[in-house]
Amino acid sequence: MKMIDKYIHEVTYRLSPKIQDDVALELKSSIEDMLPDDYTEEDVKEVLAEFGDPSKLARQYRERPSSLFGQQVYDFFISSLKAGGFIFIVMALVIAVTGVMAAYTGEGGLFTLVTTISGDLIGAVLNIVAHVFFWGMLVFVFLERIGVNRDDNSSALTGKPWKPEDLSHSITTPWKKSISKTSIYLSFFWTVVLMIMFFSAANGIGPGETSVFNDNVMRSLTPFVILIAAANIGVNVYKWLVGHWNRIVAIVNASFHLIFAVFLIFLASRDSLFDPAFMAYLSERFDVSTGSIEVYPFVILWIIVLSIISSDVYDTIVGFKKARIKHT
Amino acid sequence: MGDLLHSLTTELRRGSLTLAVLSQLKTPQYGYSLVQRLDEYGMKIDQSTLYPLLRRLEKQEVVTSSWDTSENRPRKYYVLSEYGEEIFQELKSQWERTTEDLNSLLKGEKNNEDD
Repeated sequence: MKMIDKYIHEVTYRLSPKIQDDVALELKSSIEDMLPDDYTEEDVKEVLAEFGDPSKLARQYRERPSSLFGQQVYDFFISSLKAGGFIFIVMALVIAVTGVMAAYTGEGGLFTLVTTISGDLIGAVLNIVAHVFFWGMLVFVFLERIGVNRDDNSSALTGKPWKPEDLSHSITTPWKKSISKTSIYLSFFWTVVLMIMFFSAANGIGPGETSVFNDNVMRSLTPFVILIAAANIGVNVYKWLVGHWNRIVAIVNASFHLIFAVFLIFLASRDSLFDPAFMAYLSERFDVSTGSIEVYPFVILWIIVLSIISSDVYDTIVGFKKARIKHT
Repeated sequence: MGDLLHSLTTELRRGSLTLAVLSQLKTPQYGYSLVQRLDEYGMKIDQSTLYPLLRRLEKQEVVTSSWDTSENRPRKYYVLSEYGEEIFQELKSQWERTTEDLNSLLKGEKNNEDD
């Protein structure tokens, strides 16, 4: 029974999620049809040998020549889409809240402010996402190319014809339970991006002569940021090593998110986070009263922080759910 | 010669596979029953070819599928759709025409050889 399930998993994990369950069920009943009532392991091996190399079978189900990388490209694409979607929603929230504030306080200038910032931000984010997507796809296509020159009969792993014994070497983790390498790369990538953003902010990024954030506050936060980044990298390495979700991984993941959330809340609560010169600049440029301008950036900050925290909470919950999926 | 002959033979048979499968789907069949029926007529088909083929045919709307969960083993049954019936008839006459042509060609060759 275990061997059959392993075989089926070897085939289906390379397929698109939409058809995985259907194909798995069909294959399972077909294999069982071919087995005698009291089958032995030898019988199973014979039947599986008839079905042949699982990667070859999976390849037949797909339009494209290579199976494994096609799936990963798809995953990567979906992840990029999700990241983009999340950012888009946060931006929409920010704009909506601004609209309300502007209407309420009668400060038309606020609206101009947010549309200008949004425009720039969206442009920058789209730029980054486009680059990541493009270069990522390039790498995958390249890998696909060099992997395609293989004899039709050989196993992807060993280069020799596949036999049922190979199954014991392969992964036994159900697809949903495993942690894809792609998600780890993405997480690592975001850590780097956020670090860069933080350090540019700390070094006085901002319009004209002023910096957006108060230099002193930023400097005091730097050691924490470095610690958190290191922790994040550590968590990612651990996830990579384990390769799938279990209770411990889920707890480690949750702990990190908790620490990060605490840090974010701490950061957003710093009264003097924003440089007063910047506030004055905003006030003048967009013709908004200083009273409103003191509150507004914090409103935006909190929206962003809360969005990130809720996304992290979701990720934590998903992590625990995945940890509970049983190994086959 | 063995390898080349083997691959050429496979090529030859690969084209007729779809027609063979369609010919058996006038009544609902599931994967394994199809394999057995074709085997009776001496057509051995690979499992790794049959199931993806059936799925492709379904995507092309040539066949429709349904799961039968009444037995203790759930089975996916395939049957020709209306559109599939038309396709099958067309394909069948194409095959008969081609076979006729090819046979007379080969007979012609034989006559040439005897000269």
